[in-house]
Amino acid sequence: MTIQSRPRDTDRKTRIQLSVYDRIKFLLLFGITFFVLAWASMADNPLLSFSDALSKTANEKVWLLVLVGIEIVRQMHFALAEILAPYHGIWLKYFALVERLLNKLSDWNRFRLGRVVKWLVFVAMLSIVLGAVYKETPVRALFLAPKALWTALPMLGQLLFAVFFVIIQFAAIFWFLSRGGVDTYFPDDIRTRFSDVWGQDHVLNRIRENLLFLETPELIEKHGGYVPGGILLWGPPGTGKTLMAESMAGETGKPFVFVDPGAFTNMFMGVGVLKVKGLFRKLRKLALRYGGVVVFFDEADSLGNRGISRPSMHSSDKNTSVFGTPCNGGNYLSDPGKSLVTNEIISGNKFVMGGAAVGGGGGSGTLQALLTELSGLKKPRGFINRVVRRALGMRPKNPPKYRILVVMATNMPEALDEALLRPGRIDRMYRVGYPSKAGRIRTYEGYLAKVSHSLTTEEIDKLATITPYATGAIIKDTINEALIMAIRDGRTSITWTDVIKAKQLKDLGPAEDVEYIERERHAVAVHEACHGVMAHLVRQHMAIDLATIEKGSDYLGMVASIPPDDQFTRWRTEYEADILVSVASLAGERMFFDGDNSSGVSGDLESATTIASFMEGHWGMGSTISSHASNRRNEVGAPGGNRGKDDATKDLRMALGDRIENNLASLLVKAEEILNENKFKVLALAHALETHKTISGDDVIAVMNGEKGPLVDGRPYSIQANLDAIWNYHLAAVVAHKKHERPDLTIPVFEAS
Amino acid sequence: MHALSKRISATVLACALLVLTGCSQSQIYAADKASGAYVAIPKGWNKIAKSDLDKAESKSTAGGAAEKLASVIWQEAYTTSPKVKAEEILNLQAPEGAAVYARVRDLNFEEINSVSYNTLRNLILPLTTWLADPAKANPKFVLIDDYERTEKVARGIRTIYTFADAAGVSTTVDQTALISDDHSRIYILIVRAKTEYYNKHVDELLAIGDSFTVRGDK
Repeated sequence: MTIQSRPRDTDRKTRIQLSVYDRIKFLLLFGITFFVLAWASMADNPLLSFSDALSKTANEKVWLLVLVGIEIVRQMHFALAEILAPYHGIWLKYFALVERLLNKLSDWNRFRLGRVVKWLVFVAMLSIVLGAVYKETPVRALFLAPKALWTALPMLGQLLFAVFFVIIQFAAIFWFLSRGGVDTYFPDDIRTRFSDVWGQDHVLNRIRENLLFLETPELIEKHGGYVPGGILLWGPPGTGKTLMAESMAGETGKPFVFVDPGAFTNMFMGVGVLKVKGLFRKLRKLALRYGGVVVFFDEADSLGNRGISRPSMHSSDKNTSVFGTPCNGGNYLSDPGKSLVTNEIISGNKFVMGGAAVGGGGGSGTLQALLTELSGLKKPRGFINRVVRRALGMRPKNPPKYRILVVMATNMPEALDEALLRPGRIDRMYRVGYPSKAGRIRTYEGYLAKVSHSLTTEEIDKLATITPYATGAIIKDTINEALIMAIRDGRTSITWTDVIKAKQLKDLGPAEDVEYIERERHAVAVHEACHGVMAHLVRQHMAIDLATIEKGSDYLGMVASIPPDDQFTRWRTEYEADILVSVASLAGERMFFDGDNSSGVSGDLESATTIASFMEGHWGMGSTISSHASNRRNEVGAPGGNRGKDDATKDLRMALGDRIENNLASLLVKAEEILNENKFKVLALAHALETHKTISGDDVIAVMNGEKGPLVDGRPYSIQANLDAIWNYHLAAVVAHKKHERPDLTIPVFEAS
Repeated sequence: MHALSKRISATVLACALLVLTGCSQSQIYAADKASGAYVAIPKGWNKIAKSDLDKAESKSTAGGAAEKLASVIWQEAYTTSPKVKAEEILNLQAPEGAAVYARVRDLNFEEINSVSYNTLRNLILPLTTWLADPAKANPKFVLIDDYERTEKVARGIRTIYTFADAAGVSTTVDQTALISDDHSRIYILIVRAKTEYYNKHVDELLAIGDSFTVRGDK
């Protein structure tokens, strides 16, 4: 069975039939119009009867009857074309002829001709209407129209004024809304200099280079280069990015424009765009007047992005790293290889950098406006340049070189739009990281120079060593806290103890002043002492900073360690030492409390398990080589499981979880051995902690070595009788622990301590 | 195809009906839309335009005639005979056939203060005097009807009476004089004919007076 299609127009012999509605719609319209006009006549004359109203309308509105007549003729034409094929054929031939004639004209000529005809028809219709209105001949009426227009000009003027008034209101509102958020500083307004920024010399040197090019652009331009137009300073909070910008403002001989982070957050759509345009208009003006300008966007992440995921250039950032720190495995791959791995990680892990910061900023169009202003079309600007010159037949002048140095600062570089960071907009990106030790020393010295203190050079060096992640802001705050402590003690000069206490306060928060019951105090002290002794014995890459059993908001006690050097690589032995320190609490509690242990080890086990997992699955520090992360991503399965062929291989290629557990178990055994060998040292340290609550790393060493420390005198712990007393106290505490009562013995007190 | 032809025929018929309806009106609708005065005149009567009436009135030598003419807003006359001239409308001689005269005029300050229903009755002839003292009355004076008429924005008196003109011919006058509610404007309609003619066409002539409608300014 073939499918029947509706016949094409060219196959038809007669015209397609109109629907009833199409046949009568105009007549219906004219009829309704006629009756409405008759009704209007009756309303106009109360004496008029309905029939007379119809007659009157018919007599007075002849044009309506003419239209009715035309429509009837048209419908008759259609009806004939629907009924009679020859009639329809004649018209088709006629239309084809007209079409051919029209097609002889080019499209452009047809358009121009059509435009002329339309205008003529419009003028003719206008003259007829005006003739009817003025009761004059159409031609004469056409000449009367301009006069009427002239008479109506004041009225038109009023209307225009009303329209402009509304527009001006809007313009005024938007103008006011687009103000603010931008401050301009001129040379010498700001006193901060590069010498006030400490510990970031490498970044400062690069910034100085940019300023040099801005102030003497010919240095690079005469050799065919161009002045770098944008700098991004990114890094952790408090590392001095804003201070650096402030020092730029102080150093440069050009105006410095500071843009508030909230400048582009608006209530209304479009205001952000106006602000950006306004800002760059100002920048161009300043750049021309002063030969250059520096604009600084603080917290540039507030500009937002357009939701595009971007393989970050900040691959050394530990949170956004694809290859992990510090050895960027990507360096050894080809570009396609890097791309493959990067995309796999992003799509497979749903780990989209900047994904959390999609959108934001000043709303629709603000970021795009900024991008365009930073590197858009080089448009000719100015009314005279664009309009007057063109009217005189001249070409508009090319825009001059606006020397605008854009500086942005953010601690969330992943939240920035990819297009913002491309070369040409932001040419240079500098990480303002944690200051180096030398930088920290310089920073401590700088802030200490502002106060009275008694710290020696060695102490400042040590302070810089034990505060590896201290930023300028942290150092400033610590010194200030130390000063507060000194003043509270009735002194005006800061001592070493003040600084250490201030550091502990900042690191740990204020102690909760909770008094443990004796047996629990002893248990906590033993727990922390196990960590401390183990850290002292096996963890050579970290130094103990402090040990405490003062309860904080989320811990009962703590042994904090710090890296003594700026170290960028980590080794298997170090991680094993970390695990030993972590599991020492479990091993120690079981050993000293007859196999019992507290829930306080949960955090330690979590840390130990995490490190062991990474060692086994990621870092190549276990019994297999393949990366578990890669295996999971590519769904190839981990080595091990039940696929081993003989027992030896099976043991080697055990499932990852089993291997981690085995590794941890063997390290736990090792920890028990070490603690057993040093059980008196553990109890000695626990005694020191119970006695002093919080002790420094040096005190821990003093207890271990039987020496005198800053706070604790460790010498009594080298006397066997004292150790026996401590042991007896411990035994009494264990009994009390089991019976849930107070120990029979009180904690021994040694004279020398 | 048959249904289509029927539809076309129906459409054409409907349109033809519409055209036929518009041949001519059954009456003449005299009106001044600005002052809101309307009157329906039988078809076939002859119109005397305002300009002719103004011209005739301007020849009057009576005191204050020019001032009154200046305050006329609308005046129009219709007669059964085409021979009747504007001057004949404005005098008291019986016209040939019947004549209708409509007039709207603003009153001056003095008139506003003095106008009353009796003033309206005495518009052409001193009817109240004749009624009060029959000895002084026209010999053929007969008051046929006299009643108050109230319109939307005006009120007044319609009086129908007979009197003898200067030639002694008995003439019947149907005069309606309405004063606007604020007393500032007078609306007048006078239908008159020889009494003999009037009596023959009484229904037709009464209908003219009945149709006189005042709606006031638009």
